[in-house]
Formats: sequence, structure tokens, C-alpha cells
Amino acid sequence: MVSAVVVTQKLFHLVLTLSFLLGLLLMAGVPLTKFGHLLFFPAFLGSIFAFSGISGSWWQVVLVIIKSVTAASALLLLIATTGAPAIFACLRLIFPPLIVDALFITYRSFFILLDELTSLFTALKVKAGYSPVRLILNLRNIANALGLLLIRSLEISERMYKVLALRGYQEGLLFSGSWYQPTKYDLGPLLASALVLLWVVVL
Amino acid sequence: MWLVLGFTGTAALLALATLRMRREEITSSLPRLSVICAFMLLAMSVPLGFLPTHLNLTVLAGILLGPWLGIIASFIVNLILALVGHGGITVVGLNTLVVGSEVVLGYNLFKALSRRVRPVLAAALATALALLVSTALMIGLVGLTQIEPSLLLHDHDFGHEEEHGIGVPQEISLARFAQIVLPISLVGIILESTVTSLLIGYLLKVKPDLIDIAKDEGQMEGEKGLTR
Repeated sequence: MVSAVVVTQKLFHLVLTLSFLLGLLLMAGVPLTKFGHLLFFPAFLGSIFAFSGISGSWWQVVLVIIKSVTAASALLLLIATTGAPAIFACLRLIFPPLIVDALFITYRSFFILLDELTSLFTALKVKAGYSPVRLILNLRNIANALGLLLIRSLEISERMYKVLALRGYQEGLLFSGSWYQPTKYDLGPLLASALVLLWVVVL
Repeated sequence: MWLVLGFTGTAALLALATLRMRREEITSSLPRLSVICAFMLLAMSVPLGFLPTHLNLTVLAGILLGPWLGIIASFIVNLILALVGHGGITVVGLNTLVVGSEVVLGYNLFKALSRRVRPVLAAALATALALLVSTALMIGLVGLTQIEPSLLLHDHDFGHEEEHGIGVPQEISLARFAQIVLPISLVGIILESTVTSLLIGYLLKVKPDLIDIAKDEGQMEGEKGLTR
């Protein structure tokens, strides 16, 4: 799907592909009101790139923005409908075991630290340590909160290392086995993506 | 073509980073690498009020992890961000090269500057310089990607392209792109330098053994005479 976005230069194909992806997201039950804002970032960054163009015709600007949003929608569909461990396990086919293990532990650590950060920010706001317009105060308090979070995260990493060592961790152990191999259920999305790519290349 | 070059360069760097580290070092560093990556991802989501930018903390990661693990960390963070639509999946290679340059440069600059000035100031200067260089690198890459790579290997001057019928595609005005990106980047650089230096100062007070560079040089702030 991403290859189709990269290859095509026709606005009509991109708009149809984007509509197809948004339709798939709705069919998968992904609440776009909660996840739709993630598409704002590629649109904003794509618009910076688009408005830097010399020719500046409107359809080229729209083309660049729609390309970035369509590619991001494809990835949003992937991440919203597939569990992260399954995605990382498939990446085991491409990347060395260290990278995949680091991805998985990063994913786990992210949510652990997110809880800590949320608590820290609640404490900051309750104690009037954060205000949308007082930049210097925010920077100082945020830096202290992040410093505290960093110390805590490094303590978590040391504990995690001891846990892994105790359980005989070796590089590549987290995703060993064959459960990450593609199955017949992956054929549907693969065929649909191949058809989209063929359509934009041939037509 | 440039995307392929980006991925190839990143793959080579990652292979080199993995080979440089011994197996037992990798196993023991893996949790630290992962939580620093998670920390970087979280720092990017910290709200900064009305400012249109976010923290990266790449130089901090370089100081805490070292250059080789820092390169691996920059790749992991870029990949995860691309998976959630923040940054393109096709430019993960090029992004990693740019962010990796921040990490490596930041580490080396901090190491060099902390011999001459206080570590907190060294951290601020190292961050500012590393980010300036990476911004210039990013703008340069955007300019390069507008040119066919084969043209760079050609011996002829650019003025001969019309004779040969080879056009140099110039879809992007680099000057206009730089005019849009630089003000935002400068705000980000000031912010990043401030927060990184504050964090380094905090770590030096609370847990100075984490900052190996400053400890090795014997220049820890307010701790001359204290033992570990």
C-alpha cells in the first residue's frame, strides 16, 4: 500500500486509496475521532514540504499532502488492527534479534513510563507547577519531572535486566519459534494491497 | 534511489554498532537502551503550551548510552514513530542518519566541552551545536533528494545538463523550505538545549555515576573531593 502511494502521481488514485483505507479503518471498528488526530502530523509536515515547491500549483500541493496522509493511514490501519508483538515478530524476518527485542521491551516500557509520567504531571498541575503561558516555569518543572522519570526508568531497566538474566535471556529469545510466520489469514490484506499497487501502476 | 541509500546507510551503521558491542554488553545494555528509547518517545509527547515543537532528547540519549547504542536507539525511535504515522515509513533510513548524527555529535561534543566548561553548560552547547548541524544536514538532504544521484557522479558541470538533455528536477525551493523550517528549528534548539542541560544538572546532583563522561574527566559539578 505504501509502495502504491510512493509510485503514483495521480491525485484521483490517491484520493481513492485514502478513501479505501479510511473505509477499512471504519470497518475494523477503529474510532477515527480518537485516532484521526494522528493523521494531522503527516498532513502538517507534508504541507511544509508542499508549500516549499517552486511551481506551487494547487494540485501538486494537495498531491504531496494526500500522499503523506495516505501512507500514514496505511500504517495507522496496521498498528490499530494488529498487536504490537505480532508486528515486531514479523520484523524478526528483516531485522537482527537485538533490534526486535529492543523494540518489544521499548513498547512495554513506554506504557509503564506513561503511567509514571501521567502521575507526575497530575502532581505538577495540582501544585500549580504547569501553566500553558508560563514558559520558564514549565521548562524548569518539566525538566525536574523528566529527571525524576529518567531516574525511575533507569531503575526499572536495572530490575528488568535482573529479571531477564534470572530467566536465562539470550538475544533473540523473545521471538523465537514459528508463531510469527505468515498464515493463510494474511492473504486477504496482501492481495488487496497488491491489487491497489497494480491498479496505480497499470492505470 | 535516495530512500534506498538511506536504508543502506542505516543498515550499515546498525551492523557496525552491533558488531562493535560484545554479546554480553548487548544483553546487559538492552533494558537500558529500551527504557531510554521509551523515555525519548514519552518526552516527545510532553506538552509545551503554545510552542509548535516537541522535545527529542537525542543528545541526552547519546550522553547516557554512548554513540553506538545511541544510533540503535535513534533507529528504534524513528521506526516506532513511523509506525504511528509520525514521520514516513519510507524515510526511516534517512531520518535515522540525521537523528543518529545528533546523537554521535552530541556525545562527542559533550565529551570534549566538559573538559573545558561545566558539564551543564557543556550539555547545552553540545545540544545546540548538534541540532544545528543536524538541521543543516536535513535541509541538505532535502536538496539532494531533488537531484538524481547519477548526476552527482557525472564529471560535467551542471550547466551542460540542457545540452545532454538531462534535466535537474528542481521541484522544491530549498531557500523557501529553509525559511519555513529554520525558525521552528531554532525554537526547538533553544528548548532542547535548555531541557537537556537542566536534565544533566539534575542527574549530576542525584545520580552522577550515570554520566560517565563527566565522571571520567573528574569535572563533576560540586563534587570534587566526594567519592562514588
